[in-house]
Amino acid sequence: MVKREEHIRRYSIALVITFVVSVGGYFIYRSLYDRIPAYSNKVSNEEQTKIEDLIRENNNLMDENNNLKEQLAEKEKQFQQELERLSNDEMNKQKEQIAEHMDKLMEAQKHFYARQYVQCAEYLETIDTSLLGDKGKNLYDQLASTAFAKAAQELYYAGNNEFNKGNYQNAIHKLKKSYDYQKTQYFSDDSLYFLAYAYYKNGEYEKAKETALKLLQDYPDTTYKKGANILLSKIDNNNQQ
Amino acid sequence: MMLLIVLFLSALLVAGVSWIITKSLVIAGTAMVFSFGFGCIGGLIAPYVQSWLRNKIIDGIELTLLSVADGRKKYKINKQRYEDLHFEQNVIVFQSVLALIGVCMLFVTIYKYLVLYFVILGFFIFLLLYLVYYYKMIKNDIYNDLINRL
Repeated sequence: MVKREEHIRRYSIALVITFVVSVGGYFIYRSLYDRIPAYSNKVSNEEQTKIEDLIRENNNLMDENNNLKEQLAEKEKQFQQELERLSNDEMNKQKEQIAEHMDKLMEAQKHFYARQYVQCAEYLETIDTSLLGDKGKNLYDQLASTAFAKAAQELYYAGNNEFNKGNYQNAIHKLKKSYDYQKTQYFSDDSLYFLAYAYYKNGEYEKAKETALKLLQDYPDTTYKKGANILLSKIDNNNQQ
Repeated sequence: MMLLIVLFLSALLVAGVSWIITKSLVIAGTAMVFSFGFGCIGGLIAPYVQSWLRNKIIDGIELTLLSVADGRKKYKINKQRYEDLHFEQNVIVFQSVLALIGVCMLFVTIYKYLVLYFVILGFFIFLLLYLVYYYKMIKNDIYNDLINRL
């Protein structure tokens, strides 16, 4: 019984002492902290300058950050406006282009129905099909499948006439177009041959040579093989002289 | 007195560890006070817990003996004989666990570490399991003593 009571007594005293020490310690700590300004000032003086510097630096950085943010927002706004303007311009430009090409297609159709295939082909070759819709493309393909062949034929005959008349400049223009429009027709090698000769007659020997060589290369079985070789030898002779 | 000195030394150890971890004398001192204070509470509770368990066991034995004698003879067991039964062990366990719980509670209050809540819960569960073990142990010892004295 003595041991047990003694134990409880000691522990109670220890608990009370602990409580008193902790509460007293707290108040002493608070009073020391509050009442000794020299100590706290000493600590703060050492740290104060550093803290103030850091605060100043922090404020400067925050100001700089805010300025940069404002600048960024301004630039973003400008960029958005510019982007909007560009996209509007681009869209308007594209709209204009589409309208222009549709007009050309309509003109080509009009000439096609009037059997003016050369004019029709001239319009068709300036059309950018990527700007057309499905229906426009279909119409273009329909017109192109006939108009280019017919125009090439017409231009070949017209060019040949001009060549025979001695109007080589006109002949060159027409024959070249004829060849550009159709390269697989029965008269395509004829066009190239007469084009080469028209260049020769017009004094454009280099172009004449190029055209003659192209004729021999692209149409090896042409009936104008002999004529082309003669033309080439004539050009060579002229060049040597 | 020895148990109190052990508790004080443990509290000093706790203060040292706290100072190493936090590098703050204020927190280290508070941890020591908490540890010692809670340890004291544990040391105060321990004798009451022991006497409560002991009385419960002895009353149970007396009731059993009464029923064996068909209520004709009432046996009285001297409770003071078992007053010191595993007394120090109980006090050491209680004061140590309570001291650790106190330190954990302090750190929970300061740092709000979620894991410390589970640690505190773990200590309480440990204390509960220890009580079950302690109950069985002193019951066994009392029985053995009674049998030896027959």
